[in-house]
Amino acid sequence: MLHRRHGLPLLVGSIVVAGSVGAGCVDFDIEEQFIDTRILAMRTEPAEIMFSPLFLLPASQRPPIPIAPIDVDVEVYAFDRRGGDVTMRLQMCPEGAGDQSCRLYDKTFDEDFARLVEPAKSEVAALLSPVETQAAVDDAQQPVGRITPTTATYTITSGAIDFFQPKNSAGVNTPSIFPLLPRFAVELENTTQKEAGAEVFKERAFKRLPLSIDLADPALPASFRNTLANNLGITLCDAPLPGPDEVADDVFEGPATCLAPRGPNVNPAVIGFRLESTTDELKLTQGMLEGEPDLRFNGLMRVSPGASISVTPMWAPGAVERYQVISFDIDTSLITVQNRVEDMACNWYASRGLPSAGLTSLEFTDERLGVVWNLPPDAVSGERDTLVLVVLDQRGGTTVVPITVEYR
Amino acid sequence: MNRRPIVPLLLMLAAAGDARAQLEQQQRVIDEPPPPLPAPRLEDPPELVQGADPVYPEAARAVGRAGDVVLRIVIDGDGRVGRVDVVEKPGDDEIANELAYSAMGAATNFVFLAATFCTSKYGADGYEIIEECGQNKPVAIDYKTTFALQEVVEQVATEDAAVTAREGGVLNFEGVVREAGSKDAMADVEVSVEVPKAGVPADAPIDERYEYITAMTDDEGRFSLRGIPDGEHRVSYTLSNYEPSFSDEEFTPGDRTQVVIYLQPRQSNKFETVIRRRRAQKDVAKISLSRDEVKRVPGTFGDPIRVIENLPGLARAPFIGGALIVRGANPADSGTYFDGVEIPILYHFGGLTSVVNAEFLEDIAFFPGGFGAYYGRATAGIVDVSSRKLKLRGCRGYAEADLIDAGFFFACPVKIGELPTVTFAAAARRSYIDAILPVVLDTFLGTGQAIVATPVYWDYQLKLETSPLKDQNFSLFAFGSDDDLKVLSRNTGGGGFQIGYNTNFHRLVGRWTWDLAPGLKHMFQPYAGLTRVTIKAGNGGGPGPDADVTIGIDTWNWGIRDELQWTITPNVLMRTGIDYLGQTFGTRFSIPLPLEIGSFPRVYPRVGGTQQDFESNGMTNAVGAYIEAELTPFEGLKIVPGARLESTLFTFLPNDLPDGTTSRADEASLFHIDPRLTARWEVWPQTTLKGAAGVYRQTPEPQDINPSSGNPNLLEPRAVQLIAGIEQGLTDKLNLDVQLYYTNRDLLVQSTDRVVSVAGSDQVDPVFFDNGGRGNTLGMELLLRQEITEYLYGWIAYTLSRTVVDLDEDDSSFSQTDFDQTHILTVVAQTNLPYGFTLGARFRVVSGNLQRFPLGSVHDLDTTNYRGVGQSTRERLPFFHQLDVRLDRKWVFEQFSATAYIDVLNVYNNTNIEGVISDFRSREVQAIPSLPFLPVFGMSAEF
Repeated sequence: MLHRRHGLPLLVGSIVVAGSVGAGCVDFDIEEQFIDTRILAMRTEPAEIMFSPLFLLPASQRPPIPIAPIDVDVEVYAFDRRGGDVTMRLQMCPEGAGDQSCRLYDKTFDEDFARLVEPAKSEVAALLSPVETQAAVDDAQQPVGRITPTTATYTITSGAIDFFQPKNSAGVNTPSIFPLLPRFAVELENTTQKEAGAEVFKERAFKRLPLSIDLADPALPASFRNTLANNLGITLCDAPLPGPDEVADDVFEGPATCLAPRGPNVNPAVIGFRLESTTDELKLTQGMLEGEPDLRFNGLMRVSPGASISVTPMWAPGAVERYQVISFDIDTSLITVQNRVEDMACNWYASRGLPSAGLTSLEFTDERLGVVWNLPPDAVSGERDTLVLVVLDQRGGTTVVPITVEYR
Repeated sequence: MNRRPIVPLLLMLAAAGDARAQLEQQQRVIDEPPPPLPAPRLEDPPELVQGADPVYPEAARAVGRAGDVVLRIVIDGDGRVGRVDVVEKPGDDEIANELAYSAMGAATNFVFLAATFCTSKYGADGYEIIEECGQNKPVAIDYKTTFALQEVVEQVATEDAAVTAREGGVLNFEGVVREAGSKDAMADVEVSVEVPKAGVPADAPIDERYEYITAMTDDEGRFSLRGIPDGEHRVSYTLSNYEPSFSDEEFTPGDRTQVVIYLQPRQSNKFETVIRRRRAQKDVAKISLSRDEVKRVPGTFGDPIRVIENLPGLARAPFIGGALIVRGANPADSGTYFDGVEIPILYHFGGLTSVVNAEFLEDIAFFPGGFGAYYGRATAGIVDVSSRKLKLRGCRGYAEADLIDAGFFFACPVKIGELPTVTFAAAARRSYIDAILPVVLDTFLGTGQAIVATPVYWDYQLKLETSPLKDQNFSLFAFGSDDDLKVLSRNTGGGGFQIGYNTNFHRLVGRWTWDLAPGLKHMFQPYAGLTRVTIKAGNGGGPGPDADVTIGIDTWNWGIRDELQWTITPNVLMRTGIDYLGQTFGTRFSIPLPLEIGSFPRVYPRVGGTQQDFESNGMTNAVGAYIEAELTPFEGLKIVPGARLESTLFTFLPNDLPDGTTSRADEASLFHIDPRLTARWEVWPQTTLKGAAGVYRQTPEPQDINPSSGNPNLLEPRAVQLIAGIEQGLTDKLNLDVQLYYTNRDLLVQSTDRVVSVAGSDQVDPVFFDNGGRGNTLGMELLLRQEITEYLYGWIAYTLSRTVVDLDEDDSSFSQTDFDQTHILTVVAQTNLPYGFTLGARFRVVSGNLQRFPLGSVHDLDTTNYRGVGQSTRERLPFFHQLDVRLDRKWVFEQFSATAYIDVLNVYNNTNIEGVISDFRSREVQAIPSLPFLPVFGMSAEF
């Protein structure tokens, strides 16, 4: 026979059985619930760094670039409901270094790092060197199980930007117009649990920091801008992108005629929650809510065990940004510019009980961003639980908003 | 014969005297004479309500005498026959008298509804006439019986005295013997009449007291005996593997006794030679199975095709089974055929049951290797299922239902006028597990389970077969199958998903076989069909992004097989043929294609408005030609050299692209000649040495050789198979078959990162695929077979093998394949129990599958995915071992049979592990168990 498809029926048969097994017979931890050490989010400030297109030129050919070192504050949102002391290791890694966690990255064996000269070598070494911090879970604090301190500051210099550029096999930079995505990698280990003889896994996570070229930077020499635009086959705009008052979102989104100047992405601004009167998730308020929230940041509520709390996030004005991406038409092989509107992905985690959905978004859950948090009926008076909302704008911006309840 | 009352004739009124006396009395009282009373009037004639045909006298039948007999029957007031007289008969000879007597004998047992009359009388004034009806009165009728010779009578040959003398007596006993249940005529049944010898004392040994007059039934099941002395004699009907039958028959002078006998098959005979070597073997590794032989093997749900899973050379497939993992090879390397025509799947839903109704099977040929030049385009094994030959003398039917599906089979020969008999057969089956499975899941997993699967399958077969001319046979066969599966998630919070998978195929096959001359046979077989695979995935129709993916793969098939077989001498047989196969390959894609190159990773893809539709079309035309000879240089040695050449042309058709342009047409071609050789040598009785060597190739997938998406310079993956073995008879019933085999595979298609320079430019093109892959299998198979005894049959199959492959261009080391199973032991046994029960058992011990275990993960906080950071080196899962038991009972009646069975899988509920699943952090693992204790009940009826 010439063409066979033997594998699919077998696969399908396996799906049926495995699906049945997976649906009802396993006893795994639940992703939406944090019990042992979990890293739920990492937030950088700023959320994005813009750099000059002059970095597309080899260092020897480009004029001095007026870029000041940029401090990036990194905050890790990690939890461990069991309590105890925690060792945290944090470092920065180039895109694709080591395996996906970049935990195996070792700069001493890296040829790219070896080629660096001072002061870039020291600047990069500071980024790539793991910083070990002793942190702890403070049982008295809220939110419940939060590990602190988990912050660090990194300084991004022009030497670091050059280092993070893609390179060919000879180690020469081959700059790209697309964002560079170095990562912050973090590893946590609960030493108290380990010393107590419990089985302890190292919890690892990473978050990308977008370093983007500002192709429409008006500070660029006009000749350089025009050459760049011509080579890419795109047109540069003089005016910034129109706001929602000028053009509706559904009209704005789609192919753009030109690439507009823009600033760096900012982290999404959630200011609190609306407390919903329904416990039916299908009746939660739809849309991006603005205005005065019922429950502010870090609010504490007193509740009864087994209660259900319905909350919908509320946003600061302008929290949803407009931006542009460079796309590629697979049929015409042409570079195109697309207008986009941020769509927030709301990820929900609870220390106990379960949120009605692990992920809500305008697109994915019929414009209902809230959840119904069903609290455990066996909670004891005075105990606390936390619901954590992690908002991702899906282009690098992150905001974390917890709600803590205390049982009557 | 006919019988009917002719015009009723009133002859006599017993009541007439009474009426007259009444009249005379009135005349004495009244001066003026009253009007005369009318005669009694027949109101309703007598009606025959009970009676039997007269026996046609054997003497009259023997000489072909027919005619009418008219009887005068007097029926009394109660409807009983009071007297019978012959009014007319067909002559005055003895035979005419016998006809008359026979008619009279039948008439005396008649029962009538008595005739009613209306009689008249005078009223009170002596003048008025009053009529009274409804009075039962005796009556006489003339009744005609017609003796007419019908077909059965005409078949009785009239013989003269000379013949009788020459043949040793009068033909006075004949009959037909049929199999109970199926009603098939039975040949070679010994019919024996036990006749006492004159003058032998009663206390003499039985052998001395009786002599036996015997005959054998012919192909039509008929027998006849002559010269059986008068009197009652015991007759026996015997045939191996059937329960003997006895009857006591009365033989009278001038009579010919006729009987129809049904023989009950012994329960044990169904096991006979479960694994059957058919006729003179020419193949080294072929195993043939017949339908009836293998229907009761445990764990197969009565599906004969699934029995091959218990043979050496075939690895255990996960869960229910079904994948053809032949000698460690990928299932895609083996070919599955139905009547020599490729079919895309052999089983519904990963092995639940085969796509062919069991009643439509004639036999199953399984080649784990070393197959002849007739087959191509496969490098591992072959399963070729033959459809049932419709040599039926009567209609046959079968219906079956169990917990999974229900189906029927019906076949009947039809003869219209002088046209040749055409036999048709039809079968169909439909599952209903789509209705049962949700209930089962709800019962065992709770009503809130997240995943619901609704599988549905059906299949059909239709066949016409006829022999329009002598030595010619023609058949037209249509068959097809449809599998539809929807997996739907529910209660998962937002979104959810739906996966749909459908595969169906249809084939129409004509076959014309013609014996051109003695020793010269020709077979011509054209066929055509369609295979369609559709895969759909989406968000379940609920809220969420419009993320629907549809992939459709349509493959039209057409082809011709033409074969000529010539027995040149008793020691030389040549076989040559053409095997042409044309196929289209069309793939339709409708998928969301978000293109944001270099954009930031997202939690979920932005799919709105990115749906893209495109397709890829083309065709292959593969012409294979083969020749092989069966040479017998001396008795006991058979050598079969052969060769197969094949030329394949891929044509990639231009396709319209979304931007309005058209892709360019392209071609790729392949050619090869593969030599093959098998030999068998019966060194001495019960010992046969055998060996085979051959080259086998498989056509690459079109997308791999497509110049646009693959490598047009690809060659066909190749396997060189070497087999050596011995067949040794240990006892009359115990046989041992041992084979050693080595398969070397090379030119396997593997992915590559290599690029090649484009001539005349500084550009480079990716190669995508090359033929750098390689692998091999080394193994040993053992089959110890206990052939039929009265109470037991069975076999032990053991396979020891190791299969490795190297498909990594950056690493030249071999690794064991996912299909590698070191030890495969299968024991099958079946025995008869009292009261017609049959008990079968299958026990399997198989090496666990190779399994990698996750090593943990890292949380990608931008996409919220936990990415696995690698997997362990592969480890073997624990040994699989399982006992399956089947108990069935067949009831055979004269006109039909019925069977009930229970097939119990995993009797002692061992937790066999098919694989593992891990948690969202790839940290914890839990086993995916194979099937638990699972009883399946079923019933069937057959006529």
